[in-house]
Amino acid sequence: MLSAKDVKDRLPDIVEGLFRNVPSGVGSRRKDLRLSHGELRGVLEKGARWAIANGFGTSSDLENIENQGCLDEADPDAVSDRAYERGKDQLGTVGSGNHFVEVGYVAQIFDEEAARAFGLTRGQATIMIHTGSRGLGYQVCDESIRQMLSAAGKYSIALVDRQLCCAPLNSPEGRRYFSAMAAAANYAFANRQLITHWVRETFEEVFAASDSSLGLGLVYDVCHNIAKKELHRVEGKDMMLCVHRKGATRAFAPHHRLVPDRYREVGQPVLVPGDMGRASYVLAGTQRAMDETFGSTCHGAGRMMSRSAALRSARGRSIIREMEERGVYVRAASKATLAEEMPEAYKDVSKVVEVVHRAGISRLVAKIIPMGSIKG
Amino acid sequence: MKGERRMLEKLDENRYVVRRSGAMRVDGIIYIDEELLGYLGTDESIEQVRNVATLPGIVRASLAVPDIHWGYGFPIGGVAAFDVDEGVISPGGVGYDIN
Repeated sequence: MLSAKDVKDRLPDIVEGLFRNVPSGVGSRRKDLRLSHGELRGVLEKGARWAIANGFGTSSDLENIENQGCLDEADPDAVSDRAYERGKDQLGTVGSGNHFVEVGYVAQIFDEEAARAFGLTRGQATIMIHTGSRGLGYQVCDESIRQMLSAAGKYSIALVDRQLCCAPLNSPEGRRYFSAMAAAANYAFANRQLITHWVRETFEEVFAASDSSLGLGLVYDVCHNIAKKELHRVEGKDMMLCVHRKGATRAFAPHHRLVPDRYREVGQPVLVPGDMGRASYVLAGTQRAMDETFGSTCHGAGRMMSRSAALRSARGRSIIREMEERGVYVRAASKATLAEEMPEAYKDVSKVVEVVHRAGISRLVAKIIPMGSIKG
Repeated sequence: MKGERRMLEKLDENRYVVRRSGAMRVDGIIYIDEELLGYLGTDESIEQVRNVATLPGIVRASLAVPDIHWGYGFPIGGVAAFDVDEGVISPGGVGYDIN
């Protein structure tokens, strides 16, 4: 198992290695992995299972991914040619915006039992990956919005804001979006699984040891922008619902049947990335989340400054140097992204997780302090 | 924003409610405390919580978590559940960065 000190001693090698092995930035692509149409179909159908079947990771990773890394409702035929085109060389890339790969360490444990179940101990090094379905998912959303605007008219759904455009779940338009979105979600699961693989390879290179001896097991992989069909108890009745979580994370309670066995007693792990300078958190799902929020909690810090305001405020400063002074080694594909993502552009994630902990819709397990990261 | 803030009623230290009114089918509930509420500034996300509450088939409440901020149609940091038989699905409820 790697400690904070092990990583700190080799930090530039690790971060530079990650930056080389995992492409980041707007429109970032992989020169070494360009998928054929048929392969991409497989990704959209099977998600992280495709990645494992092709040698990226082990089948035990699947147990620790939401829905085992695959939404069965995905239909590769519901995804347009343009989206396929955008997706074929972006699998295994971070992209830009708030996405990152971050190296940190466990600075504080709040819940010993849950931390033990999650395999987290104080002083241990961690890696957190945050990215989604890249240009393919963007394309699916963009095209669906146009289709949903006409569907809302067709089904006489009154919209107080056109951006709420939607269709009945059981209409052809609603079913089509759901299956295209699920396919994009599978792409995101596969994307992170491939990145996990290259992160492990990077650490193997730097430390000249196997990933299992370095303790690079997957704690959990969770979605944060998704609509899922889930069974929930509402006013004493079991109801099948389509739960939309946008910038929100699933937080299922102890003993829920969809929580992996090894976490069954403590609840589903929830990963809450903060900004690149302050902290990230690991939480656990609760019964109160099931009762009040359809098993959901926060996702991150939440922006406080618009991207343009952050750019203005960063003018004439070196964010890289400021981060270095805080003890965080950062590599980024673009200076503008770094400015947009500087810590003060975000709310303090510690205050965000305190609210969900006090409200009881998830509970604090561990605090992670960043040491280095790669950004878009 | 000032007007939006007035619609909020404090339920307890960690929760505020926008009571059902007009075209809203359910209440809006935001998990947030006073300090984080102060950061919303000119953000229109509280209005977005209200807007989501008007959609057909929404169950229990239009919900938001403390990292709420403005998003396309639905707020980022929003949770909304719809009856599978009578409800809708909306790309704005998921966003551009799917999964």
